[in-house]
Amino acid sequence: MDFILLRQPLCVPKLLIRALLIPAFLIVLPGKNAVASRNAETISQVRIDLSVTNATVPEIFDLIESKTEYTFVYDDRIIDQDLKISIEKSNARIYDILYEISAKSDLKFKQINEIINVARKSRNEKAKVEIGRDQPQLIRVSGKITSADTNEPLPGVNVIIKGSTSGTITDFDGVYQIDVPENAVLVCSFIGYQKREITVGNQQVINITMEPDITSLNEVIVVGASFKQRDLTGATVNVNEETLRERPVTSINEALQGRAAGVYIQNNPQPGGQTTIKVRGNNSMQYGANPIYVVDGIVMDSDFNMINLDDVASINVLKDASSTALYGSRGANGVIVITTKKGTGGIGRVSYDGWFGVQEFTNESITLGARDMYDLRVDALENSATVGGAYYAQHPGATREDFINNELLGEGKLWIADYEKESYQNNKSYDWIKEVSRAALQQNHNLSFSGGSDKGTYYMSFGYTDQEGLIENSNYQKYSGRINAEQFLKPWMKIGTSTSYTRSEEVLVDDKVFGVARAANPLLPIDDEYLYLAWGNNWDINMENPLKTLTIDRDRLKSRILSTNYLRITPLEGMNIRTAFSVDVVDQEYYDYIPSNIQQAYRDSYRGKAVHNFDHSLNYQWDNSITYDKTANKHVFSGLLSMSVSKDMFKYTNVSARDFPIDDFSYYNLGAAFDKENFTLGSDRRANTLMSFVGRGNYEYDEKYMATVTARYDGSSRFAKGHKWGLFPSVALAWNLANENFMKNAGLFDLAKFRVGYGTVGNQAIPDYSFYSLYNPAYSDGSVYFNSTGLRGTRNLQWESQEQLNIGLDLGFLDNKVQATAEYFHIVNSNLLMRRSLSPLSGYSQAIENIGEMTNNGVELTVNAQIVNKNDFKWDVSFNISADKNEITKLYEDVNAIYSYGGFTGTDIQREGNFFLGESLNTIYMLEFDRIIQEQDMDYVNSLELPGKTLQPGDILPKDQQAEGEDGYGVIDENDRVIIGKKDPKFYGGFSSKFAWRGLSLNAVFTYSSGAKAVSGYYEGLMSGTGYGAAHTDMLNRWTPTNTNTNVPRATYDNSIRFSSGETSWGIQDASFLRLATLTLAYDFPKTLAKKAGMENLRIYTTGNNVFLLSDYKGYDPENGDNYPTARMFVFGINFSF
Amino acid sequence: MKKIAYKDTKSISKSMKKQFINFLLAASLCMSSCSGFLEEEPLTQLTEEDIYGSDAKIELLLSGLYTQWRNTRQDRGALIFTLGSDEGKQGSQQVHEVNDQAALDKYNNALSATNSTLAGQWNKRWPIVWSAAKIYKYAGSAELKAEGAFLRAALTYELAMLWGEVPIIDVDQLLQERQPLTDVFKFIIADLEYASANMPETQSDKKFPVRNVAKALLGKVYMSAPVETGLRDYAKAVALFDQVIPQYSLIPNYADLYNASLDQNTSEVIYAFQFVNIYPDNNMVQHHAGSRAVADLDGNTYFGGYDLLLPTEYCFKEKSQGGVWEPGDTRKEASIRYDLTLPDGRVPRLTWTGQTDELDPHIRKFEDIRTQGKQNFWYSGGLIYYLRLSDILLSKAECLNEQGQTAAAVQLVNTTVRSRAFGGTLPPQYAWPAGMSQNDFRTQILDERMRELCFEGWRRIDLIRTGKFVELVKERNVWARTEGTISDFHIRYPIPDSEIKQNEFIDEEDQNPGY
Repeated sequence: MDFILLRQPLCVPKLLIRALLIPAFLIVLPGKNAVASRNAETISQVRIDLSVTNATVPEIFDLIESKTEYTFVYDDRIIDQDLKISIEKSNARIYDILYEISAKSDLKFKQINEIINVARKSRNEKAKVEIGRDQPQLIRVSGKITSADTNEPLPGVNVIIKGSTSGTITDFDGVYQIDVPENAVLVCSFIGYQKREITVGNQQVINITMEPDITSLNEVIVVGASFKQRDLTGATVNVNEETLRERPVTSINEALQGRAAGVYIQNNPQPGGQTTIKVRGNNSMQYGANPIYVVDGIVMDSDFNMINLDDVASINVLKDASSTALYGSRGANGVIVITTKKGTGGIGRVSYDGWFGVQEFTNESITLGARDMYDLRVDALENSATVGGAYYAQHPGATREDFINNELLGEGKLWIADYEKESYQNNKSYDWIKEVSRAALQQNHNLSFSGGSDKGTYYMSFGYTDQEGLIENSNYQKYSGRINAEQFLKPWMKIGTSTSYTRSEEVLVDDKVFGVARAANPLLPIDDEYLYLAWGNNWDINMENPLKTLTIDRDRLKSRILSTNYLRITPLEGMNIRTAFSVDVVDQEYYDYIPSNIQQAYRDSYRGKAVHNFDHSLNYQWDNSITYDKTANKHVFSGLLSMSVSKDMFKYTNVSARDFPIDDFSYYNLGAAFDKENFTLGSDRRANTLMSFVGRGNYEYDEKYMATVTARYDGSSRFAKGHKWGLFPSVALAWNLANENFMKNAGLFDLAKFRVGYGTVGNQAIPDYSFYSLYNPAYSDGSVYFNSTGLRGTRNLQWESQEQLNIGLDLGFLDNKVQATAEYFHIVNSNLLMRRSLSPLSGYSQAIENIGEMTNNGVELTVNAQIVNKNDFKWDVSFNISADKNEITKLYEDVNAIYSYGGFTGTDIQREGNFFLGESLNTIYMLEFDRIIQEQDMDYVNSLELPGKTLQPGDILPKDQQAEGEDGYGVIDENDRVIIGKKDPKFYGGFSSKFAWRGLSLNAVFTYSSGAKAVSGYYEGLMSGTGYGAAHTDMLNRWTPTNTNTNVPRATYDNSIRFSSGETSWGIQDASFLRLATLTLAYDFPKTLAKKAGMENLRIYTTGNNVFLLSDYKGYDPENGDNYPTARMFVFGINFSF
Repeated sequence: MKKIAYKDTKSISKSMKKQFINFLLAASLCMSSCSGFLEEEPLTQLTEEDIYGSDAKIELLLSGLYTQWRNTRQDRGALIFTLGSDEGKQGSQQVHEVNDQAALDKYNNALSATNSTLAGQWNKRWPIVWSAAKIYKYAGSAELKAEGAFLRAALTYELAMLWGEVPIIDVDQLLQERQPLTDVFKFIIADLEYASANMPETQSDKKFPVRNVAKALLGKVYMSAPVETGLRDYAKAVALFDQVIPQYSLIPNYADLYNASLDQNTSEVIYAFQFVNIYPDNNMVQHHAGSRAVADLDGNTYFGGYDLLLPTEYCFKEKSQGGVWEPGDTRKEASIRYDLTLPDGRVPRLTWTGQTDELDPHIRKFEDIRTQGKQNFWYSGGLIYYLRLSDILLSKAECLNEQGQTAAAVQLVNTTVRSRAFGGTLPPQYAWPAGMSQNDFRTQILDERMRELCFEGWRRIDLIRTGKFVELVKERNVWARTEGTISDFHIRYPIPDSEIKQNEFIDEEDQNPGY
């Protein structure tokens, strides 16, 4: 720290100050401890013995200094070096000594604490010694304020003396000066930077660096208002920019994965695909199960992938009633608040962030190759009663070889096709997946510009993403631009906008490309000439050749404008009135052309088909709020009153036309279609509105006790008159024990905040107009008629409500090196909005009703720790775990099960989606797998009454749930279906570790989930064992009379007369997994080196996404399901700014 | 020393106050209009109140109901009830592949409450019954009410014949439990009487049935009401048939009935479900009735398909081979395709399934020559008959026989249906003898009905009402015969499990016996 004494305590121009900083003019007193002591004695109290003869004045000063705590401060130019003085005194007051010197010289003295200022007497002035201790002393402090990240000076920073109204502002060079009383604290604040408080102490030059505030002063914009994050008494998780940057992905949900306790995310490996996300498990049964996204104050519930992740400054996940209360009408399943970046003051800044990556499937080959497939076929046919069974009956004593040669390969026999025989003999195996997939290149670039002054800030960015799909031809491109700006028009009036435009262009590939490729016959030579593929001699018209399906043109273009604009006025200190108008416009164009020369066209008898579909959605929102903040001593109060209205509108228009003379026009020229009878036209329009009134008060006492009380009153157009409005109150309390004296003294915790919140949230996310029974017009054979939608309107539908209790504890200890948050929640959902199927005897097939009740309990724990925090080596770890459990506690009337019907005729009870009283919402309900039948079980099996099945050893035996003597014993039927398990994980979460050594850092993010069961229809299909469809490698361990100790059923062509792999719980999977989601190695170039390259900072990194996966799951991916295999990506990225 | 600028608030507070008041005003204004803001009405759909509020709209709804009724005969629906009969059975590959559907022929344990093929048929019908009941209740004009009554009766009749006791859907007095058949049939009869008196006598759109349809159906109801209801009344049936018969005439050439390239709304048709070749108005039935061997060779051959329903041997063979056909009967070739050679001469072979019945005779009545070479057979769009004059003639003859007037019955059959069958002149050796016994006539008329009406959807009801169901199915349906489990209780289908689980008025104890 500089310790400089100024010669003249006067106001001087800043240039002069600079000049005075030259040491030649100064006397620096080395070796002196200059710490001021509050209770310094005065020079009239301190006595010394002094005896000097012909000493110079400085010599006398030195002598006094050596005997006392005093320090003389002077400019040596004022001292007459020739003056010699003699003094002889014992036990004399310093005052008297100095008085004598003053009388003998042209100097005068003034004591200020331990400092004795020496000055020249004015002409005719008598000897003078002053003691300045009783007067308040103003100390002149000056310095330069710079930005911590750029080292650039910051002009316009407010520097205020804490507790007063006086202050100053830095000049263009970031320099300030201010006179402060003793013991003052300076408060420096600037838009976009974290506020700093500095105790002046004895410093006179204080250079200050300010940290940019990534979350913009911890201010979170909610619907219609903003509040300070530290006020929160509820359950929230914050993910900041730095954390987001650690994973180069393009969507918000992916970035959140594993980062936030209580947030469960399932990815979608398709480019631009939507991930699913759940906050605190399942709450609503069917509607609004997903959280909403609030981006700079505008609520959106879809297409959030269109937000450019590079623009995001922070993500807050709000989980409990109190924290979501500000979004009440739509926040019942959690709220994800996204704040985009703002400009920072100071010199403008340009940043670039870009990465390139390569993505590949990792486990696509789980099926049998040609030879194994062939053997499986032979086994399946041999085991079939109608094939092998019949053959051996007719040819007693025949061998397997005879059977193969005479029956399977016999003259005119069709079991094995010629092409299959050839492939088998030539030992060829054909991988159709490889043929349609590829290693996909991905790139992402983002360029941003930001800056600001004391009047306002701006942030502008341009982003570009180009992701090739893993399936040939598929592609996703996204262009985005954003401008976030704020400006003070008047000292009391601020306007701002946060506006972005995003356009995405997707080249889509029909799902059947991959779907057919993975089901294709490895014995079938790859050829793009076939219209459709075959197993054996079954050329299946529904297995369209994927190579031909690739020629379908399918494009989706989306444009989105998201704009929030506000005006804020500050009529009184502490009061803000804010009005914000936001729009969210999404336009989507979808085009499709199926050419005339592929199976899809031949099968449906058209010569080319084109589809145009235009979606238009408009959502506007107008929010008005008044907030008031008041601090009085230790009391901090803030209040909010707000009112908002919003309207959501959706329209579409579509056209499809058939029969084109040529395929050349693709979908572009609808007029070229000539099948005028088969034009189809469609359009729709729907809308819903919401209106809300909210009142909220926060109170805080002494940073120890905090309370938040909220009430909101919401109206929705989705309910009929008389049922539109719902009232949702909440209250949350917090107590920071760490600020209690008894805890402070213990020094154990830096933070120990105990939180309790209780409140109600509403949900209304049902389809529009659900309270009406509706009729659709339809065209048929020359006339238009009306048809019921099948949905019975429920006039008295009302808000679904969730009563939520949240108890949380935030702890920080070891200088906040370890921070932990634990939460417990208990949610009671009542009046659940649910679509249930009705007996057709009611005249309708379904109704949406307020049915039943469900509870949801859970705990969440997050721990962040700095294990090592040295200058050049840091190791941070974080860990989170969540466990929640839901239970249906009531259904309508005395019903204890509501079944989900589906299947071909819509009358089969599905294994998923049923609701059972006392059970989880996500059960799997089916026949229970008992065992693989062995020879010795056959007597028992033959005694069973089976639903049209004939079982053999090696087949799956379902468990008879009735004991002997009970009704239904010995019968396998519907009554033997039971709840096999649930799809909810027992616990899940993530953990991460970050090592940093100098500029090098290694960062790993893991996600995990345990205990969830999953249905893998794909795996079950692969285990059908008929030999006429793709088969899983597990089939190699199939049951045979010589391999009986196995859980894999035998092969047989007669799959329909046994229990197939999907008919019992045999194929239910354990979806537990541990995944290394991201591993990043990054290098931040040292600032000095970066500077040489003309940059502020420069960072390069390489990342692996989905580096490894541990799981017993048999399908493709325990998290993403079976549509596509797991994809792994390696990325190289760079970011820099200047 | 500088001061922080925005502390000066005095000078601005006045103008702020004004703005603040404006803001409050705006907010309160908005509040007063908020009830309006929260009203959103559907703009592309009608509400139930709208629909039943005017006859004009009810007519549009009625039109929709007729389409829904027609669609019970679309796709597989046209054939499901003929599975497991003595004239039709599933193809071997379908039996092999789909256990639940196989049960409809096999009459094994999979023919149970959880059989979803049957539940699907049940579920399609009740919503139509309900809407028809509402039309009957809310329509202003007697004509519209009558059409509602007709539709309700037609469907309730079918349901009661196949499932037994069913609820009675009357908006004023809902009886949601299964009702005794006597009450059900009384209700059906009342509806049809009302319809017979009030339905329009003519309709320009063939989709809309006329009064005679109600009369003909009522006649059939009288002759098929279960004997134990006491409502079976052959005399009443004859009286009704006599009102209908004179207004229609048989067309000369039987085969023309199934020639989709001709106008099929002929003088013989009392009511037919109207289809065309354009989706969603194609009947799709050929897709299930044609041969896979043909389909595999060429999807645009009008007699390809997937072998869901094939004629039983009894139904496609000559009498001499133990079948039903007599030489010279033109209906044989018109009803059944024996030759699967493609129009271009290609001969289909057995496909990968190895199932020989793919090359056996197939049903011909759903073929649509218009699709040949242009469209897939799924686009078949010929009419599907509900009531034809020949059915009514045979029904009348049956009633005469039951009333002891066998000679008159024989005379009626010989001079009408059988004459036309043999090209207009009935060879004497095939004329039924006037002295045929009443019992003989009963046997003969069932065969005659098969020859005349096979695959037109009446066979199961014919077998049920004549009490021949179990006997003839066991004898003639290969799957039922092989399985050997068909019993008397199979005369009724099981009430679907989905109904029992979801309907508080029907419990497991209410299930038909045997299931």
